[in-house]
Amino acid sequence: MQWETWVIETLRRALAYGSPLLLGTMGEIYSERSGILNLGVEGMMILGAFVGFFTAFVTGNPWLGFLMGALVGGAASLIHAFLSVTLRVIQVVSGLALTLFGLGLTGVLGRGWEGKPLRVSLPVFYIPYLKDIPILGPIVFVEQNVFVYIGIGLALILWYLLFKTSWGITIRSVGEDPATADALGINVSLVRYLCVVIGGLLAGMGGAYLSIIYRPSWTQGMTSGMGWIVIALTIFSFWHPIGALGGSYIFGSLFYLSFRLQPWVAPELLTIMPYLFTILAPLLLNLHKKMRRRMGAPAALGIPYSREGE
Amino acid sequence: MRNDRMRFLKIEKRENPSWKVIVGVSIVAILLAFFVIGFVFVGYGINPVKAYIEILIETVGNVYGLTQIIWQSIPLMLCGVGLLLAFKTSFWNIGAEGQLLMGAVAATWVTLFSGFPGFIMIPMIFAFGFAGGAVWGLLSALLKAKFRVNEVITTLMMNYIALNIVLYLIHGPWKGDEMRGFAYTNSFPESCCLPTIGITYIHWPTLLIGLLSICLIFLILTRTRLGYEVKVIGQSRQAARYAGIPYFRTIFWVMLISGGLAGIAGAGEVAGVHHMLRHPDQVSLGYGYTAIIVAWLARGNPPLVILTSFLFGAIYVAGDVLQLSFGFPFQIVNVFTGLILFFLISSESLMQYRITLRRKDD
Amino acid sequence: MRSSNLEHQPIVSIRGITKVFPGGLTANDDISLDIYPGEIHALLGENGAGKTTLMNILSGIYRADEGVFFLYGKPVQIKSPKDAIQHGIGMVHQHFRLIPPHSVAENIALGLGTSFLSPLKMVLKTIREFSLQYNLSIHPMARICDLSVGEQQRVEIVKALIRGANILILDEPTAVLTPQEAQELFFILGKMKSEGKAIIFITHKLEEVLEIADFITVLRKGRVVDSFPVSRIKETKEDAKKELASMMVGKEVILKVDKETVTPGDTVLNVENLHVHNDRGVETVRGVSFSVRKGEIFAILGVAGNGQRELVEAIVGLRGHTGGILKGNGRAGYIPENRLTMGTAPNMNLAENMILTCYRDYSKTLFLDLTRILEKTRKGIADFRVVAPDVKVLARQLSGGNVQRLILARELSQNPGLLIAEQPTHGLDVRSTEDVWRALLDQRKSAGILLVSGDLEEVLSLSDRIGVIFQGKIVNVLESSSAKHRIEEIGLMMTGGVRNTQVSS
Repeated sequence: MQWETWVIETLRRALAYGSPLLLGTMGEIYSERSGILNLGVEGMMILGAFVGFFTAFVTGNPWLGFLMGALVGGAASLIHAFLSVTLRVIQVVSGLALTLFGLGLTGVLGRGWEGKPLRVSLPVFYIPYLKDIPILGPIVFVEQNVFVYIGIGLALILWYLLFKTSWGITIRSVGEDPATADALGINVSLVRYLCVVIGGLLAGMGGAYLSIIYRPSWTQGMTSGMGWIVIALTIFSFWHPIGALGGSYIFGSLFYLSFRLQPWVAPELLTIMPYLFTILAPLLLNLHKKMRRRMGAPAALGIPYSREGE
Repeated sequence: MRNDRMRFLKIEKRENPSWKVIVGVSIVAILLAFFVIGFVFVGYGINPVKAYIEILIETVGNVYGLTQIIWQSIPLMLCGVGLLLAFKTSFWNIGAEGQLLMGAVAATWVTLFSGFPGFIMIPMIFAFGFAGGAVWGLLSALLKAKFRVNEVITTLMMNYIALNIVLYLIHGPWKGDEMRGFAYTNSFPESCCLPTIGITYIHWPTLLIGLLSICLIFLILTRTRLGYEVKVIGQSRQAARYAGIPYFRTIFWVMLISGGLAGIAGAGEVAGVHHMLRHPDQVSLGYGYTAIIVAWLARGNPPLVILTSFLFGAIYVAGDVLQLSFGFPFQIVNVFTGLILFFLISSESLMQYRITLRRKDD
Repeated sequence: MRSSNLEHQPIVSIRGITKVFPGGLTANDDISLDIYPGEIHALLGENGAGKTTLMNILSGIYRADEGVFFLYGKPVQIKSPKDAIQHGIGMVHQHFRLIPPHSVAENIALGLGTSFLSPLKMVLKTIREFSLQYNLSIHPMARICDLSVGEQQRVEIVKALIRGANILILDEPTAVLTPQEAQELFFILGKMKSEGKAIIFITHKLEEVLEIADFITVLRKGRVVDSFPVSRIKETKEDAKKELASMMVGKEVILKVDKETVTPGDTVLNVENLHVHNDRGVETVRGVSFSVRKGEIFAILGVAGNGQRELVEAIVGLRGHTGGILKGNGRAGYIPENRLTMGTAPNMNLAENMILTCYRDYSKTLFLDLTRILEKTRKGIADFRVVAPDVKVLARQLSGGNVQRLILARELSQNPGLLIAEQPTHGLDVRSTEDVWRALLDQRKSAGILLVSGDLEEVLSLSDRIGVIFQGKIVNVLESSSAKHRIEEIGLMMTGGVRNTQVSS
């Protein structure tokens, strides 16, 4: 019995810990599905974390914090979009620059705000009836903050959008074969810009979650590499929002476990788990050729597109 | 076609930008970055002109500043030239930071736990430092060559794994006896501390190795078979296949050297500067990441790494100056670096085109 | 041209289309022809005849330098693929423009502007209708990567039809199909024809032309040789094929080079019952056997796409195979078709490229022997007349002819026992072509040369023996001395008009 409650508690916490990862991953999925690799997630998340914290602190309104966090992430991503889509630079470098810039800028701006506790709260739910469903109930419907539900809801909406609507077909085709999409009259640049910005908005939102809900305060570098895990999760989830749900919560439970198992295992070694997973996931995927083709990366990912003759 | 959409400007591809153009554009990119940072100063109520003057005085304007720059540029030089080699073969090694840390770990092991006799300590420190970084780098090479896993992911993740390994060691099995709040190992014994120039921090053995490495990489790239293979693979894997160049074997040597040099940088930091293994953020001030731009800016010329590592060493010291004199957070260094990189890559893209006014008869 | 019949107007009239590519290659030279609705119009010609260029112009991918199009009698401008689609022109390319991991319906729906929430509804409905109408059976939810080539082609056809194509262009459609699939395709085309669509069918295969075409236009070297209804030549099938073949390749070939006689020596390459598969897993080399001896040029002559690429890759060692390949000692010299992306490292300079395939010989001590390399480069450039201001020039800055000279200099100076040249004069100007020919003839004295080409003139000028390849098999092997008089027959062999009569050579 004690084992069972332990598992349930882990999973319950996993939802909370995994939500910022979920938001970031869904955003990067959209960006990469359109063919643009954005390594700036870490930078966008930390920008969202600081701006979100700052806004919530100053206005006392956490929702505004989330909004501003998202917007700043979107604005930052525009830089990457411009460089990658219009100027067609090497996307790896542009994303790295964005991360460095974001980390640096928040380190500068955030000076003096460190350690100040944020006293705002978001509704936490104990949903009647649903919470009594065996196993699932205590995990999903007890003591979860609203953003967990927003995250799940977004995952479902974004999944539907990507796979069941005409916009989704367009986005995915642009990422697989921009030349063919272009020949059929689709504005490849516009689609890519939009997807990168969606990525930025969601990354910013994920970052804001960290500083408003997760640890209501601001610390320099508080994302501690979460942005990089998002990059890996994008692969791990097979570029699929529902996969992102599963993956984020797995990693969320890894995060939680790295706290919980501290009495028995050195915390630093536990912290390694997510990063190790991140390497193993594409490794396992690549072992099977057909899996790779079917569920692998968008074929044009990372390759700047220009019409022949330009 | 682009030409159709612009009515007044004609944009055509520039054949081969001359080196004058390249240098000029690079300088403009750097100056632009400084210009933008000026605004951040203003936002903090600091007069940017005053700030820049103060920086110039304290960095290149006095001897102490110069020595600061030199010792900060040592790890940048080592990591930078190693990355330059990796980038030449289109292997995106983002993991210099982790390779550096693992070199530091290896060096610490030699110092505190190996039991080697005193007179071979320092050579062993460097040898094991090289090995530590090399092994770390080779893991990513293996994953890419045999399992096709993208090197950006593997090298990046290994940075964080290395970071946590260091944290584990200094909090756990290698915890020092005289800890006072912060975690670090015991201090290194005298025989394991690298000699420095006078009272400065400049651990000249590592500096020497750095300069030698630059010569070595230059030699490799211009004069050896390996360098040739590296360049062909970086250009066109199809041509490399045609020429019969083995991919894995070449990447193996590249990452051995690239990781190894970063490892030496790490060994140098712990044995030459800190004389102990401490928190990763103090051992490496993001050297592994900054080295990416150091390598990029050198545009494939190893000797230029001396200049670019010096430049970024100066930026690091400038960050220190800003912190001490103006209370400015050190993180400003990353803002510099990020901005310079932005402007650099944008300018590279724009250099591809020549913009002139359209004549009537076009 | 047909006599005008007021009720039967052409859907498309092409008048005076001329297209010259940079570098001086005239792909289309004053071409005029009419396409009528309810007809299958075959566009016949060898490689380089200009068929694909013409159709690319018609479908908006290229712009013509001169000439006009008329659609239903009205002049129209076709400036882009979108324009062409709007005018009802749809093209099915040789290399499909499909997205493999997506389903059939998603591929068809792309860019169609369908409903946001149920983008596939309209497409599914239309697919069902087309299925009945044209007998196009495709499973709409299947992924493209799981479909056979024939099925993928049908998806491309539906893509065109759903956008309202009344004129359907198919570029070498049966090149990738099995005979069974080809028959299914013909049935579909027949149905479309009876619905009043106009179909343009680019091919080099005579059998097909006689089977399904109503009207034939033969192109050679960018010009129209003749344009006529099929009924005019269908006296006997064999005679018809001969007539068409001779139109395609011409009656005579003027030989421009002097060839010394050389006595052949030992065998340098022996291929036995070679089977090779392409990237898709389809067997494109289906039991090929031949041998090459020192002192002779053995040519594999055929229209591109009949297995030559895979054959060469297998011999050179870049592709797996079953069956026997026996080469002499030492590395075979290889002049690849992709000059710039494979044969050279485009952003490296001439000296660096000069040692691309022999760099180990110039770096025995692991150090590059720069003096020797420079020497070799200078000699190579001089001997083969590579035009370049100096050694430091990058390979991509050279003209096509000079790149090829560079590659020749490199490969030939290694004195290989076996040299493989793949389409060596493809896209080159006359001067460079002559240089390449001369170099190959020279090398023949000390090596055996395997020449893979689709250019009949080149093959007849250079080779001692010719193996004609069609659909992965060597149809026949001829002595080139007798080949001069059997040109029509060769044309037939290249286009599938002659059954496989190969006896092991």
